[in-house]
Amino acid sequence: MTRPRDDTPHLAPGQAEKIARLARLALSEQEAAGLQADLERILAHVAQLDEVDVAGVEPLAQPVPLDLPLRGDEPRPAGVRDELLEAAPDRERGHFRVPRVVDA
Amino acid sequence: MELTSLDVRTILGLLESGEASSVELTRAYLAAIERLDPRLNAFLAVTPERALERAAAADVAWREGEAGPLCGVPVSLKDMLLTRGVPTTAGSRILAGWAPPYDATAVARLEAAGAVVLGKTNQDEFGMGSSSENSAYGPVRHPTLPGRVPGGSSGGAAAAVAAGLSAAALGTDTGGSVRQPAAFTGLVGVKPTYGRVSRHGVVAYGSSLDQVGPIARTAWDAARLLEVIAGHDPADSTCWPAPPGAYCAAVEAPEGARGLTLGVPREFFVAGMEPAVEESVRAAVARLEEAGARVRPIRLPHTEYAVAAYYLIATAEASSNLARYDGVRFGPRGGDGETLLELYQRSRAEGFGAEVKRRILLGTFVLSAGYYEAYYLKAQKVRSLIRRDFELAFEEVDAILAPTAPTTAFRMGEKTGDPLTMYLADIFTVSPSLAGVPALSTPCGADAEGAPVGLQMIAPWFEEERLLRLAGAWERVRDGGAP
Amino acid sequence: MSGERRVELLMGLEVHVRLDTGGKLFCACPLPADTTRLGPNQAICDTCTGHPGTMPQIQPEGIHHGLALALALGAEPEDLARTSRFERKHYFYWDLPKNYQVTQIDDPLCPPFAVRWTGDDGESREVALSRIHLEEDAARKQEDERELRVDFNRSGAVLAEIVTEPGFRSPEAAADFLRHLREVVRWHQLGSGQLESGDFRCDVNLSVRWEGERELPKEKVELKNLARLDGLVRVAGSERDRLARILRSGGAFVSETREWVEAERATRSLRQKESAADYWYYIEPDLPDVAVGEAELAAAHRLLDRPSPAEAAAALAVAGFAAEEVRDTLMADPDLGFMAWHVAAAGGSRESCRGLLKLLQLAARELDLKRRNPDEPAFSEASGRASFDRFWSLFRPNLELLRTGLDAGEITPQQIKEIARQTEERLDGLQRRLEAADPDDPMAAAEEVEVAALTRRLWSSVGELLDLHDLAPALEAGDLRRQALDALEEVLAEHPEQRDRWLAGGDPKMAGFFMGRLMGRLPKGTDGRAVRGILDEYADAHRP
Repeated sequence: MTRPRDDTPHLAPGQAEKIARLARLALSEQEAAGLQADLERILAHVAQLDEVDVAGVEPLAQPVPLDLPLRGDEPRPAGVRDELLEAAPDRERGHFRVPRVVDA
Repeated sequence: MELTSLDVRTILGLLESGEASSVELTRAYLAAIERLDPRLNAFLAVTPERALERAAAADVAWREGEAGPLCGVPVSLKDMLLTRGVPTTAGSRILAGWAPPYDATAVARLEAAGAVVLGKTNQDEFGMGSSSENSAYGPVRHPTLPGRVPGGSSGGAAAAVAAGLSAAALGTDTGGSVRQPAAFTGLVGVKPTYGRVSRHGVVAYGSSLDQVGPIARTAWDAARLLEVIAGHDPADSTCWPAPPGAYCAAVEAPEGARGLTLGVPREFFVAGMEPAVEESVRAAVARLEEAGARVRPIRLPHTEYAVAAYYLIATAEASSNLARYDGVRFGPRGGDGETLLELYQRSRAEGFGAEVKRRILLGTFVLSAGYYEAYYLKAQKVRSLIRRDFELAFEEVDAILAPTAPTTAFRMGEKTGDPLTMYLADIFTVSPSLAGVPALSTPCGADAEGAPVGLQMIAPWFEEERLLRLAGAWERVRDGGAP
Repeated sequence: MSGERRVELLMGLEVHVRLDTGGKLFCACPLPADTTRLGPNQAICDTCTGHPGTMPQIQPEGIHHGLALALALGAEPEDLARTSRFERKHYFYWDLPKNYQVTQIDDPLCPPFAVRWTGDDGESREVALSRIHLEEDAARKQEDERELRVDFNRSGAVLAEIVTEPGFRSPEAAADFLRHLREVVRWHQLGSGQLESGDFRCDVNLSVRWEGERELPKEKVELKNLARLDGLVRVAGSERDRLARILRSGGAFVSETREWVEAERATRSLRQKESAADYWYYIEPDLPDVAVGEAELAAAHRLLDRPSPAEAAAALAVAGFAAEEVRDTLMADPDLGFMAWHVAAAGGSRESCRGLLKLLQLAARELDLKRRNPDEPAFSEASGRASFDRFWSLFRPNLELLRTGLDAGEITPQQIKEIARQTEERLDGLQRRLEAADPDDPMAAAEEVEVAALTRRLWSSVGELLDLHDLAPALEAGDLRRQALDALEEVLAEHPEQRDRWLAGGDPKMAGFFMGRLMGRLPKGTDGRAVRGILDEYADAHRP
């Protein structure tokens, strides 16, 4: 069962907005407040993992062990250049176009 | 004879004997889509011309004795699966208008086996949800229970099969997204062992969890689809280099459940679950025991931590996998950003729905410096323990029986207000996903209102044949035939 | 009693080298040796543009080239036989299609080892590498005031990052290591080493402390893009002096990235160095760990098909080339250097070596022109190594014939010089026109076509020369002699007792004994009398 703990890591005020910047998500103030509250609740729940004794336990990244031999492809053109350019919202002379200024 | 209520096996029989043609079948399904889908909203794209063309080719193949194992069978594909030239959105606005430059391996294999693809099915955006209410293109409705959800995230796939809009479907399952909607709509849904089916060409959500799986009316149908899509694919380096098993034969194995030791984990019967679910599952266990299986209680002690571990791992993976949606190379571009930063922020703010943003934020947070060890690494260690639980259990038993979900199909809007409540609905499906083991859901009764209950069967890694043997045996027991 | 304490520089390099494998690291897109000649987005696919559903697939060539680089720099094979893995490093930028870069963080391909080399001044030098790892390259751009246009040709290209410890105490020492590294990369044809195309890039980090202190300073300054040796020495020297002044004045400096401003002849702060927190990391879940075993190491060794640059230079010096010529002409062009080494190592007179040098230089130019010629796709689209191998297989037989002819006095150096002169004139003219040509001009393509015709003329001149002197039989005789002597050495080594009796003379059966065994090792139909002649000659030369 989830129980409140003193050492439950809390989100600092405005933390949601900070992470949103890192993840390149523009949030309205209302969205940010709502998500901050959601994250706090979710983090309070996942704090139950602190009950688990994981001393000496190796982290598991892949559920099935993978030790496949390397095998590559013969280099060959994919032949999808035009399709890929066609898919882009803004393209120019065979390029993908973006604003030049990174941040104001 | 209502063509759209038939299972795949019956359809193949009709096609083989010439009693029905694929064109005829395909027309019937397309007509059903036109009639029923405006209400169900199960499809995001329908491709009638392409389907009829392929159906005609399938009819020729049957006549010429060149029919593949799914020749002429009308199927649908969850919108997570890439289809060359056919819009693929993963239920998200951020992929609106995108037509992939290639087919997913599973799709290519399905088509090579002769299947006729009718269209792409609706889903929770990027697979993030358990009710199919999180689609940018509106929620999917339950085909038989008004006001209830069809489950998620492969809700469109399940609704399509249950309502007779496609004979079978492919979904994707990250934490239960094939099994739970199958349970909610009274169908069979299989999540194969991680690595059994290629993920190449599947929109990635949680890369160490995602698997493609069939949703169908019967175990045999699901087995046939799995036989077609499973097996090594060099394009997916995590795909197991072994040929698929004889799954259809396993469904019909004459020994049925006899000789199998089945474990029932105590942790899968928790306070707060719907009584009808517990009763139906326990009754099913008892009937399998009568049919010759040995049943014994087992422990999977870390089950209660699975939801927390799952949501940390899946959202971390999602935050990474979804970084590429930025309005530069595909999909719509948000706003008229003056700067690159604005372009990213607006494209993503306008393109992603609320639940996706929530999970990206959570995932970015747990991977960010200072929190990685406390959250993500911890969750991976708990994942180790969950996998170990299954290893120990499978030293004692051949397969595990459990409910697929703690409730039957819940009401639309019931859980949308509180993300945590929605996450907890996945409590029984996430631990097999974390462990990577194969699992399926098969119907085992209904509640008082007629809402189907799903029985979850779980087998050891790469033992899909055993899993389907058990599922076949259960269908015969359930339907009163020979065990 | 001067109290002036001395300031010590701590300088490390992070060098990015594009490995020319003929392709990319995680997809099947071919990539030529010189990517600057590709049109925008010509070498792209769904994977290297980060489309949904794509999955990386490790191309073994990338691993093999990375291992070969480590071996060529002196890593021990046993240190390389290990498991490494790829991770995702996240930051949003237009040059990353997935907004993360697949790279190696915790388990690099190559663990720490020391690189030893001979410096420009002849002194032996050493620096500790902290790692060599592999990663995918990023996209390139074209830009004007308004917009930026992205080209993904380079996205996913194979990069090796070579990271040194802050072990250099002077900018000159760092520059000397950079020179060595580039020479190794180019000599072994692991990459072009070109600075202009970004195939060889270098970032510098430096810091200062009082001499005698042991601790590493906490703060360091990073300087980007200093692959030019003169620039590296000048900029790093200036920055060292700036930091030393701060230290002497009792001030402190902060970690930051700085850039050189030519007008001010000083560096200027670009931005505070991002803390690691601005990136986020995650394992690459779509890739298995990379296990390096015997097969991978063998493949890496196969890429190192020639001696080290130092050994090759020594062989050329023995063949009579002046040290400056070896360094500035022969070794400066790895294709030329390799061919020259081959000729020198095969023996022959100094005169023939020198006579052939001119042709080798022309050959190196010819190869370069072939690579630029769209009508020779086998050369222009192949990786540098592949196009060289193809060229060498065509060139080598001619070279052997010429050398034999020169050694035997059947061809005169004047004849070679005349061919070289005519060919050079034509190549000069063509190259001038090529360089002046507008790439969009349809005539330019026609000019390039001429490359093929022209180079064919070079070899037809050589061919005529060889025909004139009927040298093919001479080559055959030379070949037989080499083969017979090689086989004889083997046979003699296997029968030391009989060898001594034969060479001591007086036992006529012994010549027959060896003759029989020798013939057994030579191709069927070999002329027995010729072999007997070689055998007798050998005995005469080796009698005590």
